[in-house]
Amino acid sequence: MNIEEIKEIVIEKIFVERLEVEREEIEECDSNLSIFAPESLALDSVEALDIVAGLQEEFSIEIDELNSEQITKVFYSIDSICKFVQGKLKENDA
Amino acid sequence: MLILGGEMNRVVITEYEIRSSCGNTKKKILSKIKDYKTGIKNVKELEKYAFVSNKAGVLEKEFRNKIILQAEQEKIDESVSLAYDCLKSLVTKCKFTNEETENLQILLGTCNGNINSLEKYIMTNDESYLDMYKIDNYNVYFKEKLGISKNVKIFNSACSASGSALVYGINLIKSGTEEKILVGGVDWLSKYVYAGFNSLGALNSDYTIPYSDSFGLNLGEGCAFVCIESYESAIKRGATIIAELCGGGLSNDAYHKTTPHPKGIGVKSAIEEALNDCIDEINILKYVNAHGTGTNANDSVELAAILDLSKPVESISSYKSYIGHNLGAASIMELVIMLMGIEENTIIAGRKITEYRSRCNYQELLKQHQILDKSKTSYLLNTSSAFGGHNAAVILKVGSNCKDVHNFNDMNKLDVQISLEKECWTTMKKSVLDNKEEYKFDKDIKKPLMHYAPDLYERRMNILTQLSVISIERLLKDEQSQEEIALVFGTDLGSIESVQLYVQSILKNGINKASSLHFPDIVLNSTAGVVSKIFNLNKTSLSVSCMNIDEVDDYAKEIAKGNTNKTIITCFASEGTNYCHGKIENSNVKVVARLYKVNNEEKK
Repeated sequence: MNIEEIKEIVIEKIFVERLEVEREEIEECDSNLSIFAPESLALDSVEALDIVAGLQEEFSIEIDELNSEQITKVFYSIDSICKFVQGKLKENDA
Repeated sequence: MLILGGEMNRVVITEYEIRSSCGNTKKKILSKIKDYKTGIKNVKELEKYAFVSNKAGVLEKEFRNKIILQAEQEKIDESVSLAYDCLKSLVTKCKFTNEETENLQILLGTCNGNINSLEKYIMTNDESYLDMYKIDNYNVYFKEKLGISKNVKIFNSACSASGSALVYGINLIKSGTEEKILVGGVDWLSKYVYAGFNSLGALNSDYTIPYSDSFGLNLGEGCAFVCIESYESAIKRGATIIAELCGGGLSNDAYHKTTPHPKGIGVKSAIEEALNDCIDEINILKYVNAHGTGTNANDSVELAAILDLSKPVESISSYKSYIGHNLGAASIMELVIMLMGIEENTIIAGRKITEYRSRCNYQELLKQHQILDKSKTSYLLNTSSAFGGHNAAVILKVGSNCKDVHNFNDMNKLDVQISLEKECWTTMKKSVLDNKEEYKFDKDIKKPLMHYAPDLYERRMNILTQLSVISIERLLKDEQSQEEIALVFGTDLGSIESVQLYVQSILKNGINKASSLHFPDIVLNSTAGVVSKIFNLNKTSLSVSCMNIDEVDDYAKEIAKGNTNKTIITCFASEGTNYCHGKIENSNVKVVARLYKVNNEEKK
């Protein structure tokens, strides 16, 4: 799965369907920007926890237990989430 | 809360009863606490769910089985059964006459309510469990079994529920509305609630010790009630006064569903409101029984707020290391343990901390139990905070046999009345303000608030909350200031829509993968919390379980006597449904909101 395919699943299945973020809102934001910043998507720590659950479900990957502080660092932006998923999928393939 | 309206009764605590994981008697509980031993243990039943933790403060096995058996026989939820067991003992201890018992007012705080019956319904499809889920069962059962005539009032503000009940009770007695009240809290350990805290990453796999470097909480279960009455009533019937209640305050963070305000503004506001009742008497708070859950989110913020009060604080601890976090019962259960300490001239510390957490290493945190010198008057505080942003705080006065009367007499003698200014009711078909229909929603609209005021809509907002926001927005549209507005919010079952989404996540993914997104919305005060945040209603705030707007208004009339807010909003929101597997019938959802002005006119 290439990074663009991963990004589409992350946006549609996790951000739009699970978190109910408006697609236009996502498209208006720079995917390198922090998803937690008020000027960006302004997600909170509870939503961050659900992103972890969503990634595990959608990509069948295992994510070690992280506290909310770690989550906000690892899952800083949509791009960083996609890179993280790509890394995990490669680990699974290896 | 200052009581406006003339002579005020002094409020005293004369008796208590408790059911906890450390035991059900003072002797048992204090024997554990004296040696810093916990009642929390590994719970075998939780092992199969693969949660982060299996630890909880559960009731002693034999007693727990008795409560379960009683629930089965009486066809009531375990929570009702537990609360009744505790109440019955308290009524016996108090030696009330039949007439006194009949006139008792009971105030109960609960977070989980009868959720155990809902869990059983989902597992079995047996509809008799739905009847047992109804919150009115406390009222029906207590009336039948105890012979009380007044309706039980239920407070649902999650982990501050029993604290809120107590603050309201103080008001009722100070204002002379009631003479004797039994105030309590109950919560039975629920695996659905345990699953929610698990998903939020809030559980500790080890034994919780708030303020230590081990993060997270252990849940508990239990019940406690205290008898509060007017000083005159206590003297008249020769009751022993354990402590005087001389202040109470309520607030809302107006910030987030689960996370406290980072500057502790809400908790500080509730405590300052409580302090305001006796501000001239207090030089120092001798002791604060803090909410102290053990979580990263709560402890440091709460401590910083407590240490930034207008009065200095000598010592602080939390008892959740002994009995776990008992949610709606937490505040009153810890208050009862405070009372046990007071009777034994002791201020109780939490379990010993080896390594303090950063931002929690304060000298005010009690390292060991201390002697309480009752030859001097001391002021002690009990505070609690909750999901939904609700906070409650009460101040106890002990020593000198509570002979010093605190001075309310400097206040003007005021009459307090509330007058209805506006009313708005909103359904899925239309919104009507003061008999004038101004807004109609399209028939199949899914997010009415997105159409009415998109700026106020928040992601995943349930229909009950959307209609509540619409009603209140219409009331507040022309209000100049929102700083002095109190909110009294009532609901029958809260958002069943959110409960369904949460349950679906469990049925689909397994209980150890319950939705952290929907869990915060299953608490009944969730809608009140969201409304408070949207309209910045951070002053006096109460969330109650009831059946109609008139019941909510009754609470507001008492609240009006107890605070300085100039405006009170009352709101009743109901989905008009019982739990069902299918879709919620949105057409049944109805919200009524009213705006009252508080008139304080000087007596001639």
